[in-house]
Amino acid sequence: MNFICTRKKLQEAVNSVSKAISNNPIMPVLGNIYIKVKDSQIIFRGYDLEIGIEHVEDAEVKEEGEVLVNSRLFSDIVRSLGEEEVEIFTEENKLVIISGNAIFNIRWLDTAAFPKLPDVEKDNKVTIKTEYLKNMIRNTIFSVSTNEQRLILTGALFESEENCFKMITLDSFRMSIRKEYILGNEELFKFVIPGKTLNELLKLITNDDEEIRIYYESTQVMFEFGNCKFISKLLQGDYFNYKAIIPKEFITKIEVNVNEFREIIERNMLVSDDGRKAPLILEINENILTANTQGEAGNVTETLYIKKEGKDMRIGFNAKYLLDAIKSINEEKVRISFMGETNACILTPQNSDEFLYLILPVRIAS
Amino acid sequence: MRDILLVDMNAFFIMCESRRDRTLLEKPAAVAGDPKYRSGIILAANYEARKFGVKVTMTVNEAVKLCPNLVLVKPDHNYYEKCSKQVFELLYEYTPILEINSIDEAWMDVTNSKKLFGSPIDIAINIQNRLKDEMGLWCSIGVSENKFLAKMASEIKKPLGITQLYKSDIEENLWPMPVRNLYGIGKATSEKLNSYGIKTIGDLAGCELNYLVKKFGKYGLYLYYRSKGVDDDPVAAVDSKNLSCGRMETLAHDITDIRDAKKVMAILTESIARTIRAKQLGGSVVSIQIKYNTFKMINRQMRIEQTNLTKDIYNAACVLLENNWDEDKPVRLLGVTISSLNNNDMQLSLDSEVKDKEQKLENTIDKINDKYGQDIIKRGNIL
Repeated sequence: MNFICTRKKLQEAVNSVSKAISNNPIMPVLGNIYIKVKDSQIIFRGYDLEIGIEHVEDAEVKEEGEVLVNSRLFSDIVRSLGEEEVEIFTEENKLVIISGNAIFNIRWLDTAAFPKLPDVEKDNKVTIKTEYLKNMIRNTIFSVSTNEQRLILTGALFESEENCFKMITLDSFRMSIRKEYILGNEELFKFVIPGKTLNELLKLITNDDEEIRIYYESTQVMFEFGNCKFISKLLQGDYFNYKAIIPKEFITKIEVNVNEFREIIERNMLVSDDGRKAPLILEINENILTANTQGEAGNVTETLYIKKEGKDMRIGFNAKYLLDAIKSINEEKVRISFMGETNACILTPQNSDEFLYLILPVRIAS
Repeated sequence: MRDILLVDMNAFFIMCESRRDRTLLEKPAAVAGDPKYRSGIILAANYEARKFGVKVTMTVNEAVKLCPNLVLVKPDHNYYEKCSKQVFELLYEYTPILEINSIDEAWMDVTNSKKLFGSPIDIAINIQNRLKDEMGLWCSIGVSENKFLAKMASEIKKPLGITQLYKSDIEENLWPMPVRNLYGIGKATSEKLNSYGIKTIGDLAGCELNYLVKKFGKYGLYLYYRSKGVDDDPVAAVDSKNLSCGRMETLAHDITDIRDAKKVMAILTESIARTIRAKQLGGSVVSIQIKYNTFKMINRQMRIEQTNLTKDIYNAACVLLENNWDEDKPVRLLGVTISSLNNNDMQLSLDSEVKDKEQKLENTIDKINDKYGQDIIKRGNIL
């Protein structure tokens, strides 16, 4: 094996594939990067049995071949190099890396022991702009459950609905739904992607302005974009019947300015011990919303002018849950609809159904 | 200076029994676990029985050998709790600052009660007489300036003692005692201290602070100050967040089958869940205790969503059992505890609807059991 490549390309490739390489791999062989040189391309792979990433770069190829190299060492070396071109070749049992005046000799391993990345058939495909997908993930990922006892909820549901691409996440206390209208996708699909996969995917997508192709099978999914193929297992099982918990009738609806409300929540969280201990209590009287937190260290009260329909009411929340939702709303105003002080409330846009955040309140001790 | 009393009920369980059966007063009698099994140990012995050498934690067999006419009474914890409540209600008449230390023991801060009820000694005499006359229960009272000395004082004369112990008296009264007698020192610590040549509380008081902290860490601080009679701890109702509720059971025979252990857990979790439901508390840390027939004991815990449902606590206890069960180690005692109790605001969850139903069901079961007697309704898993 022998090729010449820019440091920048090497760096990009290593950054990509190392997202699928654990520092503490289950099998030692999975701590390596797989490098294969063929035609005029170098193919890099990382795989932790859950997520597999393949990254392809052009290079000046002198001799084809394939090796495994220790991921951490190779990444450190690539990062340390200057901007010169890098020549990499095998010499008996050494991999030689030459850049400027630096010459590294490191050990390489035979590729036979490296597990093959799963093949994903390209029969079923959804296409979406990277920017949209990124926003959908960012605006829902926080409510993925962390409770391993209900594994299916540790993933996000991807679901099609009349030219829409929907993403749903929920833990026991809240739910996030995001919708993107995408024309030309007639396929019906429904699958659950592990939250961890989405977090890594988010870091990998650097170009907002390209198409990402999503190929799915019953047990795995592949995202194809730029130079990358990103393969992940899907979570198996029936997802929570999330539609059943969306309330339809409300006793109170208010409309608030998103930025103002966000600032109020943030100020309230200053005394609530990270929103975990003292609940944020919202009191709605006529057209005034009063937000109040009685923390151990102190308390804060603030009022906000709102539009209101329905009854006056008083309800408590974990401020963190409200903040996560409100931060994900990229509109001037949001509608909040309440069903009662011990029932879920929902946050929706004024005039569309692009998002829905459902949050369960905290029952205030009498 | 503060005025602190410690009221310690004498032979509490058996004295409670004597309230229901006056004849027990004249005979040697003891409350004990089921005498048929070896798990039967003496839980409380009256003073007639103590004359024969019968002691708490002795097995029933040993006790009967010493005192063949010993009357054995089966324990009735519900009744003792009821009596205990009545005792504390009487104590509350003298001060609102009361700290319940156990079912039969409480500290009182009477610093501000003197104008109404007289000197601390007068208050102690008054309390002791009223408990005896009105309720037929005996107590020993320690009178001092802090909780620690009050506790030590109460131990000096039993039964029906009233003992004062102030810092100025400790050289004479406290220091000659063996370290084992110091409140807060167990068997292991006293053995360790003895091995360093520290035999009496006086020896301990003579130690450098640095030395004790080096040997015992933070606990060294406790030893240093207590041996000098210093204790600034206020008498206070304990913060409910730090409270816990637990139960342990010594088994009738050693078990190795986890299915048996789960049955025991079902009974224990039902009991503690019921207790915290009655107090309208919920807890979020479940721990289990396993004592092997080698007397080695382990304690394992896990965090769960705040709950007071038997099912949730039982499931957590089973997870802990499964993770720690070793079929090669016979088990003689099992326990379960729920802690981080509080009655604060409760985050509702998507499972709340199911939970609400379960909550109602369990409350109903509790009510029926309260009305018609313990365990009229039992869970399938303990049959």
